[in-house]
Order: sequence, then structure tokens, then C-alpha cells
Amino acid sequence: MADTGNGATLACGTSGFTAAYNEIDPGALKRGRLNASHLNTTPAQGEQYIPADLVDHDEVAIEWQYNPNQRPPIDMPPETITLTLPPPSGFSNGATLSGQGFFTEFKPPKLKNNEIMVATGKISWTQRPTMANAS
Amino acid sequence: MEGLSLAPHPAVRMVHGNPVPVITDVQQVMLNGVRVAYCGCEPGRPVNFIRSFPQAFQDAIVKFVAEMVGEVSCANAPPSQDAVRRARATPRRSDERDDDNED
Repeated sequence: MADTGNGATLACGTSGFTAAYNEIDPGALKRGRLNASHLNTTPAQGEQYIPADLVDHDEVAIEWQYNPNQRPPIDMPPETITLTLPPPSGFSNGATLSGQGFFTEFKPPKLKNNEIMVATGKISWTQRPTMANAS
Repeated sequence: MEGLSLAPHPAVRMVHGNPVPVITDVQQVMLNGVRVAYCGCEPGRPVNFIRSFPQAFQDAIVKFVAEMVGEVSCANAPPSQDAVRRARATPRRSDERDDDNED
């Protein structure tokens, strides 16, 4: 089922920060691998791996049309952050990715003629976020 | 406004086959089963709309949350397309000319 990201939002539950987002990149989930090869591993088997214990979630990267009256909570403690995806066809409510998060970066926009002011930022989860299905 | 209700945050983890809420300080504001905003579970938290709604609707939601939960610190929503268009259409200072100084 093909769909676009139009309609996605990101809400901060304590600071209330929100913006006209151009882009929300949730980041990748990564799980390391441990080389489990040993002297009896055969060439036919090649290198052998087992999964690492823990999954790491990248920072969420966001880009928004800058509003100087809406300052991101770069110096606030972790809060509940909910990324809501647009609902797919046949569903009323979009899927969500949520958890405790905090801003790690805020880059104000460059100021140039004939260019919309765009700011960027990054959000880190305190631990692996939770995905909820569309309903 | 009829049809308004509060619902727990959708984030749950399955523990031994039972859904356990993960987010306990933020809940959903639903209108006839459709999510329209998030709000806190205690007074002093914001209301975050998930899209731009008419001001009267936003005011009604904020009033509902204030009645059910307590004081709302602020209400935030993505800007409307009209607001974005108006901001872009506003003439910049460099466009204004002082005709008195022209020769």
C-alpha cells in the first residue's frame, strides 16, 4: 500500500513544542552482530554471526519552517514525544512511534534572501521507543 | 461538543500476552473515535493538535481538556496553510520605497 508522509506530526508532551515540519526522519534501528566464527568453521559456512543483545535507535532528525517564537526545548529534561504517522486508507488513526525523548541539537536557520528560513534539530530517545499500529 | 472523549496513549508493550501501557503521562483526545490531539494526564500540560483545525474547534477541545484534566498550559497546532500563505505574501521591508528621496 503506497502512501506519503503528508500529515505526519511530532508532539512534545510537556514543552508542547510543535512546528511546520518539512521532514521528520525517525532514524534507523540497528542491532550489532557478534562474530561467532571459530577454528572449526568451514569455508563453506563462511563467517558466522549471532545478534547483539540490544537494539540501538538512531536520533530522530527534524527540519521545520522556522518560527522565532517557537523555541525547541533544547535545554529541557526528557519528555514524552509522539510521532504520529498519517492514517493509511481505511484507518481513522495513524500509527505512532513514541517514548521519552530529549533534544540533542537545534540549528537555527541561515538568513538569506529569497529563501525560507529552515531550522533543523535532533531528538534522542532515552530508550527504545514503542510503535503502535494504525487503528 | 458531543463525541469527545479521552483515551490512553496507544503505545503499549505486550508482557506475557497482556498489553501494558508504556506512556502514562500523555493521553489522546478523541472525537467519535478519531484522534484529534494529545494532552497531559495532569494539570499544567499542553494540548498538541495533530493537524491544523479551525480556532473555534481548538478552543472547544482546550475547554474539554481543562474540564476533564485541569489547567492547560498551552495549545499548539501545525500552522494552517492560510497562515503560511499569508506570511509568504507579506511585503518585505526592502519592497517599500521612500518616494520623497527619489530625484
